[in-house]
Formats: sequence, C-alpha cells, structure tokens
Amino acid sequence: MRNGEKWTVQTLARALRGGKCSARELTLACLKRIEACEPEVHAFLTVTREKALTAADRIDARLAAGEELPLLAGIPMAIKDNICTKGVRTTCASRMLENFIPPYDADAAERLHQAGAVLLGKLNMDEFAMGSDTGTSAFGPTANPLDVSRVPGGSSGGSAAAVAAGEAVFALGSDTGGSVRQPAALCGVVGLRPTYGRISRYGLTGFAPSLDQIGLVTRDVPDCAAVLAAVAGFDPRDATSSRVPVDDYLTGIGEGVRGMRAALVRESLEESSPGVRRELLRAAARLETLGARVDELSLPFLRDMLPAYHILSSAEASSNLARFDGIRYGFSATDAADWQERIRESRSRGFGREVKRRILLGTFVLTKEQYGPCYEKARRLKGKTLASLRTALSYYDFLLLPTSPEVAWKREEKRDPVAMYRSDLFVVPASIAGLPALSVPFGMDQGLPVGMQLVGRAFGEKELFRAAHALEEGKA
Amino acid sequence: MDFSITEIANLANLRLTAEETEELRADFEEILQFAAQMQEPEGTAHDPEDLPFLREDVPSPSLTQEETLQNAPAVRDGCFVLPRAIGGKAHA
Amino acid sequence: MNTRYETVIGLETHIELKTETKAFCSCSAVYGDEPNTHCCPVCTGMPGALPVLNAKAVELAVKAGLLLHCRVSLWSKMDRKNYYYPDLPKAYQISQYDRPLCTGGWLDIPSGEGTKRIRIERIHLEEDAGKLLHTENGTLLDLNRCGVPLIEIVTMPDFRGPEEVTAYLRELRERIRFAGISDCRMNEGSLRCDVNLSIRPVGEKHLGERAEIKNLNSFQFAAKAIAYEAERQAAVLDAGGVLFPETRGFNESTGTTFSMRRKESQSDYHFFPEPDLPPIVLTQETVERWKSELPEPPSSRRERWQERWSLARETAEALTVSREAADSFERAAGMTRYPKQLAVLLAADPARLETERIPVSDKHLAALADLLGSGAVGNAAAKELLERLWQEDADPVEMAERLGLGKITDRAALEELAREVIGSCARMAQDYRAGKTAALQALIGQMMRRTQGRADPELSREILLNLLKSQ
Ligand SMILES: [Mg+2]
Ligand SMILES: [Zn+2]
Repeated sequence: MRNGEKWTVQTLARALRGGKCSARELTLACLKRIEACEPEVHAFLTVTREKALTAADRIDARLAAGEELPLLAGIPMAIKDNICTKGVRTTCASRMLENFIPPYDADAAERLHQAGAVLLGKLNMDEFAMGSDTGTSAFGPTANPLDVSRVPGGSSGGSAAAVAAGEAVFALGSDTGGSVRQPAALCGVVGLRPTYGRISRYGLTGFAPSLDQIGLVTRDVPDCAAVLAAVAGFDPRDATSSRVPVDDYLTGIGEGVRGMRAALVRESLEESSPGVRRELLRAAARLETLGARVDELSLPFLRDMLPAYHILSSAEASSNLARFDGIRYGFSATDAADWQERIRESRSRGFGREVKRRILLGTFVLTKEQYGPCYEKARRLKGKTLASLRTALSYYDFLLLPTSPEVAWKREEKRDPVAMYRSDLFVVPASIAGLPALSVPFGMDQGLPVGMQLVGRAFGEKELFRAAHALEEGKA
Repeated sequence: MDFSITEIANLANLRLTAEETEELRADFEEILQFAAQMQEPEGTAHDPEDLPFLREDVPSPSLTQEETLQNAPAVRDGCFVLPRAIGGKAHA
Repeated sequence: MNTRYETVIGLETHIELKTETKAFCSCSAVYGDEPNTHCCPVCTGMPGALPVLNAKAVELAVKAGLLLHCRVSLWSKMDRKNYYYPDLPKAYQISQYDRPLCTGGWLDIPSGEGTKRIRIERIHLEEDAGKLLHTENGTLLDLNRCGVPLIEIVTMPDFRGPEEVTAYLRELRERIRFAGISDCRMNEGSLRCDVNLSIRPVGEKHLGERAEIKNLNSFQFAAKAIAYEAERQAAVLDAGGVLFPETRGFNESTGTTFSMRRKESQSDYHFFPEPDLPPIVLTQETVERWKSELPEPPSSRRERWQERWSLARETAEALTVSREAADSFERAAGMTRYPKQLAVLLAADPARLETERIPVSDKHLAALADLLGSGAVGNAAAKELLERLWQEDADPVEMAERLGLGKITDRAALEELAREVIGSCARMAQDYRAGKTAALQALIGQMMRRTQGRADPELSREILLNLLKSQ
C-alpha cells in the first residue's frame, strides 16, 4: 500500500511551480488513494472531496496568474478530527460530537488555509484523543497501512496512517502524551510534538490543556520543518502560545550533527524490546559516525512520569469534558424530563467507555481528599521533570530514546494492560516538560518500522530537525 | 477506602453500570497506589516558564446568533431550549 | 428581633465590571440586546475555544481593592470552579481560589452617631454566568451576559443587622460607581449580593450554623431577607430545633426565604488552577499608578465642599452622583468667585447629573456662576442660560446679551416703567402711602413681571420709593 511515498512537500511544490502537475491533479490523486485504501485503513472520518477540489482549483488559478504562493500551496493534507474546521464536521471520534459543525477554524487550520494547503478531510483518532491505538474511536478503529492486521498507534492513528498510506502528503495531529510521536513511529513516518506554546491550541479540543500540543505528521524531516514554519507562531487567542519568534527551520537543515552532544537515555534500553534496543544502539552509533558525541544518561524519575501524566491529564480532562452537556451542541438526550437528567443522560450515552473512565478518574483525583496526594504531587513532579530535563539539556543538545518500546502490535492481540500502559513510557516525559520531541523512522524490527525519538530544548526545533535529518539520511 | 464511586459519578454527571462501577473501583485503587509510589518532589508546582499575557479591552465581532445556535438540539426565540428544572439545585 | 440572640452577617457582593468586552473573550459586554448575539466560541464553551484575560478587568478589580484599602497580590492566578448548571457553558467558572487579587481591606460605614469599620476578607475576579428564562414549556438560555467580568467582594462577619448591611451597600456602591469600576445597576443585575447569616445567644462567642441567602438584587430585598431569616432561625432555636448549613433563596413577593439545598463544602467544586491561563503578574509601579488614578471618595469631597462653601447636604450629594459631575463642578468652582451659586444651579436637576455627563466647559460654567453671583443675571435667566449651554457649549456672557437676558439697569427706562406700574396699580400705591409697606414689594413684583424678571430689583426699589414719595 506504500504508493506515492516519495511525494514530499518539497518535490510537489517544485512540480506545481514547474507546471509538471496541477493542484487539482494532486488532490484527485490523493482522493483516489483514499478511495483505494479507506476500506481497509479507515484513517478518515470525513472526506471533503468537493471542498478540496474547489480549493485546489483556486490555487491552480492563482499559480496560473503567476502569483508567488507559500510552499504549502496546493499540497493536499488532512487534519485530526479534534481540531476545529469551520463548516466541516469535527467529531473528536465521539458520538458526542457526531454532528458538530464548528462555526470557527482552529488557528493551525486557519494558517494552513492561508498557506493554500488543500484540506482533504478529517482524520480518525481515539475518542477525545484518549488511547494509544486508535481503537476507542466511536466510528471504528484505524489500521496500520503497513500491515492492516496491526494497530497504527494513537491517538493520532488516523494522521499517521493517512500519511503512511499516501492518502495525504502531511497531517495535523495532537500530542498530549505522545499521541503524534507514537503513531508516527508505528507507521514509519515523521512525527513532531513542538515545544508547548509553539503552535496555538486555539481550536484544538482540549483534553489536558497544560499538556496538549498540536503536532505534525510528515513523510520526512524537511517536510516537518516546512509545515511547522507554516503553522507555528503567537496567537493572541491562546494565552499560552509563545511570543518567541518562529525560526527558519529549513535553512541549514542538512548541516549534520558534527559537534552535537546527544544523551542516550539509559532507562529506555532496559524498557525496550530487543529489536528496538538494537536499533537504538545502532542510531547512537550512526550519530557518532556522523560526528556527534553520544553519552549515556540516567533519568531515574522516568518511571514516575506515567502516573503523574495520568493524574494530570485525567484531572484536566474531567473539567474540560464537562462542557459536553447536550444543551448547546453535541449529543443530546432530548427525551430527558428535566435538565439534570438531560445532562447526565447526554453524557452517559454520548461518551464512550474509556472517556468516561478518565473523566471519573480525573474527578476522583480532584476531590478534596485526593487533591494533595495525587494532583498536587503530580504537578510538583511536572515542575521537577522540567527542571531536571532542562539541566540535562544544558549539557546535551538532545536526548535520544526510542519513541515506542516495541513495534506495531496486532489489533486482536490481547496485550497485558501493564504493557499497554508502558507503551507511553518514552513519550510522556517530553509532554510533561513541554519540550519539543520528534520521532523519525530508523530501522526495522520484525519487518516493521522503528521510531527514534529526539527530545530537544524549548524552542530548539531547528536543532532537532537538523539532527533528525542526519539520522534520516543515514537510514539503513 | 473513604470514597464513594456513586458520589464521584454524580459529580461527573455520569450514570454507571454495576460492571463499570467495579472496574472503576480497581482503577481508583490503582491510581492511588501509583500516586503513593511517585517520589515526593520538592519545590513548587507552578511553571516558571509561564509568561503573563493579557488582552486589550477592545471588542471584536461576535458570532451571529444563527452561528451560535446552529448546533443546538432545540432553539426558540433566539435561545437554547432545555427542559425545566425539577427540584431546585440552584446556582453556586 | 428576638433580643436573646445576636445576628452575625457576612456579605459576598458580586459586581459586574465596567469593561467594553467580556472577561475572557472580545465579545461586547454591553447590557440588553437580542439574546445570544454577544457570543463566540469562547463564551459559549465550544470545543477548542480558549480564554484570554481582559487587562481592563484586572485593572478595575485591583482599583476596587485599592478603594477598599486591600493588599494587592503582585502574583495571582485564575482557577476553575467546577460545577454543572445550564447557564454555565463550560461547566466551570473561571474564578480565583487561593490566590485572589486583593485581600484584607476595610470600609467605614455610617453607624449611629459615628462610623463602623467593616473588614474585607478578599476581592477576586471571576466571570458571570448566562441567563435562564423560565417559561411554561421549557427554559430558555441566553448567553449574552455569560463571561462578563465580575468581582466578588467578601467581608468578614462584621454586620449585626440589616441597617448596617444597607449602609455598607450604599457606601460601597457609591464608591465603586464614583471610581468608574462599575455602574452598579441593580435592576440590570450588575450588583447583587449573597448574605451569610447566623445567630447566636447574646454573649456567646462561637458562630452558629449559617445559612447563605443567594442573589439579592436590591438593598430592600437584602434588608428584608435578613430580618426574615434572623427571625426564622430564632424561632427554630426557640422551638428546640437545630440549624444546619444550607443555601436559601429569597422570595421577592412574600419577603421570605426558602431552603434550596444543604450547603456544599468548597471541596465539592474541586477547584484547580486554570491551565489555559498564565498567572497574573503585576508590578508595584502599575499598582501605584492605578492608585494615583483613583478619585478622592465622594464622601470626603462632600465634607470638604460643605465646610468650605457651606453647601447644603442635598446639593453636595447631587454633585457627587458621578465622578465626572464632581470633577466638572470642582474645576469650575475654582474659576469663579461664586462656587455656591454654581453648586445650587447645577444641583437643581440631580436626575440629569446621574444620567448625563455635563457637556459645558469649565470656563463657561464659571462664567455663568459669575453672571449669577454678580447679579448681572437673575435666577430664572441663569437657569435658562444653563439649559441653553447644555444644548450648545458657548460663552454665557455673549449668550445673555444676544438673548437679552441681562438685567435692566437703565435708570430712565426703569423710571418710565415704574410710572406705568404706579399708574395702573393705583390701589397698591395708595396702600403704600397709607403705611402698608408690604405694598412696595408687590409693586416691585409688578416691575419684574413686566420685564420677565430682568429689572434690577435694587434699582427698581429705589426708583419706586422716590416716585411714591414725590407724587
Ligand atoms: Mg463567586
Ligand atoms: Zn465571547
């Protein structure tokens, strides 16, 4: 199913400007690919065929008129279904929002629109981004296009699968606790979680606001740099978005890693499957060959990050998902006799099981009794993680560890719940610390791609791209 | 354990099956265990990175009434409609 | 009230701030419009919408704190107060929990002969909810007010009766309005209070179980609710019953309170820090600047004016109805020799001062006072001039001349007129000559009537006397 994988933003942009193809042709090719793949992959929840063709035609007209357009103009892409798109259904893969049509665009969607990128549709995910295998979607799971019997990872499984299958050139996802990086790793594509505040969260349906970031899924590292340049930047509608200027990420991306210092996270060696461990060591060796220095570093608090993550994210989710009450929008139990029942029934029937579980967990850790020992403690741990990682990153340019301890697993495999839970072990620290982290395909295990993760300094995306691109070029 | 799953469910406005209640009991116990295992970090909880940001008091256009109401299950006289209140839980 | 018990009252007052926009979005905060027309994704709680705090709301909240002698926190934060109610779209109110903007102030209120100090525990910033309209077949929800910035001013339990509460609310409202922090329009719900009330046997130190009476939106209702609730609690205790913490409502038509629910503890709201908003950080310089912008309180201005210009209390009150009126008067008063005359003239229409800004320049107000005070124009003419100046700000001296409103001081003209008056009112002249001195006043009145009040009264008197003697 890996057709069209050589389509990258850069090559397509050149082709468009050289008159080798039109935006309409590109869009039609993607739509055709979607038609062919979707029965098995199910990456899309909504395909906006007509809108996409209209948008593509508009770009063609502007190109024909000799207009200078941004790099992304005419490039077909898709957006995770928890990012609001004006006039296009945004479901969060939940019954709760099955028919919700936002009257506004998320900032990132707006920026892509401004840049002339062509929206193909909205992508499947775990319901409200709560899951790691795109299995909790109310509209059915997504399959890994590399082996449809396997999971694509999650929660941005639709985003990773669509890009890996060649249905879209790039995709937006969201990363609260690894939800972009982990599926990117499992599907063999590039996934970036930028620094917290780098991309506005305005219009991203909140799961856990202090951890949520919009992330990117692309075919290679330069594409990732190009897309980030287009969607990043301060947004006065998001008080947590950053005023740090956006870098020119593409310039110097090929300069290599000579002189860079990397820290291989020791605990990740112990927690990885043998094949992943092998690739990790190989990646370290590759970096050294390319002129970087790689040391081993221990982050003993790594294991505490998972409970802290679960406490923080559930607590915030319980509050953020309280707004779904069946009154102003969304699933509504219209048969309820009074408004109290309307709220309770709308929520009980509109939310899936995992979502309810997390809301209840979050409500629990915010009760007076648990606030101190659970919530407050987790928040202090978050502060400590940030401080420790910042210290480490004052010596090292980036941390190196696998994205996922193992490659994509089979959907029907009943995995031990602890293993399932542990699959987020390597992605959660960057989330908690708000640091940028990128997953780049590196090597294979059991015929499936392995993702290598680079965690960088706050707003150090440019260095991450450079290092990841070096690994990518050296790909075996 | 001194918490009631029913009370938590009431606070979250969710109805639970008996089976879900049992699963949750296990989840709650697990999270408490995890929380207890986490090392006690010293220091404060707030993020020194947070930069204050305030908005100028300048109006910008709102949505139209139609846009505001377009996703509502029921609308009358420019308002959202909800069933009457029974019993009197009033405002906090 | 049963004299065996003492009533202990604390107040939580919610005041909508006078901002152009809502607390966390740029929707207009203007009152009264078609329902759901001042709404956006943020204030209707749509998925993905985020709050951004209004700088003006912070400024006004801090100014309220400074006005009430509070400490201002240079670092504070917003929290989420989580609870479900249909008029609260996000199912949490963005409020402040453990780090409010202002703490520990006070307000002196008139009490008996002297004053009483009411301690302020805290002032925090939060957002208003939407409005529910209950109809026969369902409840309607309008979110126009949802997200309008509020301050909540919490006092210590320092009140002992409804009179003190009313005095506090009056004093508070006047100061807040005067400083431009809020309009405090109770009929629009922009000032409303919750009363926390308990009773205890006289001499007892511990507080009794308290009831919180919610959402009282007039001074009168607050007083009535307090009187009723104190009696009710006394009756329960007298009958050997027990009180428990509860939330009560007030029925405006019966003047009684009714139980709504047992009181939640604060923990039922599972507060936690608002992750969408960074902390509020202020500098001491900003706070000092805001402090310097605060006006002198109206009560102290009144005292000063009453003392210096011996204004009547009502006159001084009318002029302190708004900061604009008071400032305008005070500036003009400094430019004329007749501040008292200016005060009386302006205070004649207190309703207008309350609703309108004085559109006349200080210079022209002072000139008008000079005309009146020096006797160049009479009272009626001065009133007319003020009316005209209100329509069009112009030089009152020129205007009086143009309109012929000045006094007639031409001796020959007045003698002519006096002869006419004596001729046509021969009876009055006879009466005067017969020793009825009061008749002179009537004759002067006739001269005034024939000149629409413009005849110089002193000169008219002199001329009349001369003519009456000589004839
Ligand atoms: Mg409050
Ligand atoms: Zn709004």
